[in-house]
Amino acid sequence: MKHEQETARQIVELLNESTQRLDPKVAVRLEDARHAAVARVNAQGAAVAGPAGLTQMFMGYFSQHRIIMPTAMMCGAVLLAFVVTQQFVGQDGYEQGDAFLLASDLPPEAYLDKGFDEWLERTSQF
Amino acid sequence: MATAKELSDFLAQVERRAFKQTAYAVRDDHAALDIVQDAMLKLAEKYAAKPVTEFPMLFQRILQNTMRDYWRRQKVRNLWTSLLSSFGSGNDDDEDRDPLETLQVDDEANQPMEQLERSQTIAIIEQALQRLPTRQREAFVLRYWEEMDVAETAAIMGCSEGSVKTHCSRAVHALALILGKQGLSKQGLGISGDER
Repeated sequence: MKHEQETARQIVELLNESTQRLDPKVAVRLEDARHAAVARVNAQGAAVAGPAGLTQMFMGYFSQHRIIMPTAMMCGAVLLAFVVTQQFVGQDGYEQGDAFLLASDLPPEAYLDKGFDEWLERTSQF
Repeated sequence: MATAKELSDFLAQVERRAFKQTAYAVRDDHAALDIVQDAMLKLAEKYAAKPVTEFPMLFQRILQNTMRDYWRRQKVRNLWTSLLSSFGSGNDDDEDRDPLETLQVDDEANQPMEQLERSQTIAIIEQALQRLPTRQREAFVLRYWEEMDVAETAAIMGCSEGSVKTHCSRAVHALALILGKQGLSKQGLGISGDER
């Protein structure tokens, strides 16, 4: 185990040396990439500090949590489908109620009278 | 929260190693530069607000994922290429080759200059690293070169700590075997031997 780590250490030492012998063009490109990355952080910082900072922050949040938007849209679609379904189901019930009232021998006001059922029971006993 | 300067310092510290590490993996310097640049931008865009102490692990994760994305794209590209050309070039068995048989060494061993010898040794090590299986190379680089502990390496590689130890051990043994075969024993590595 110790021998293994010693071998690894020696190899790593040579690898570290190899990083100092990079092609200058590669080193320049890496430096450019680093500057671009840091510039992006500075730009983000400026955007957050500005008047649009709050919007930027929320947009950034949503862009980082991309799962939120599809989930919210899915929930909205399910809710909409539920509401629409309820509308159609309820309509059928109302139609049946209206048909019953119109076809009944009693006037609709009779069903609104709370004492009507008791009166009907009492009178039907005779 | 890290400042822009801390981020810059961190990137300056790791960029060369990241490039080399990526170049060993993808075997293409231009692609490696693109991957490292992408990883730097992703770190800056998404994790600049994190403490600087978390940067090494985050950056390695991003780098590994960016490499995987590159390989996925390459795989799709290769699939289309192989579909479009019915006559394959026969390079698909690259992974099956024995690295010990294919390892090339520049025939400049008789050069007296120590500098050249070290360059040769480094070249041999780099070739040997490139020919290691991907997981072994990842484990070796993260564990020994990036000096991450076993748990961090396991988290980045998405495997168990036991697997990391196994990969590391196999990698070191394979490298030692390759170097030994090239006549580079522990002394032949040209290290002064100073203990840390």
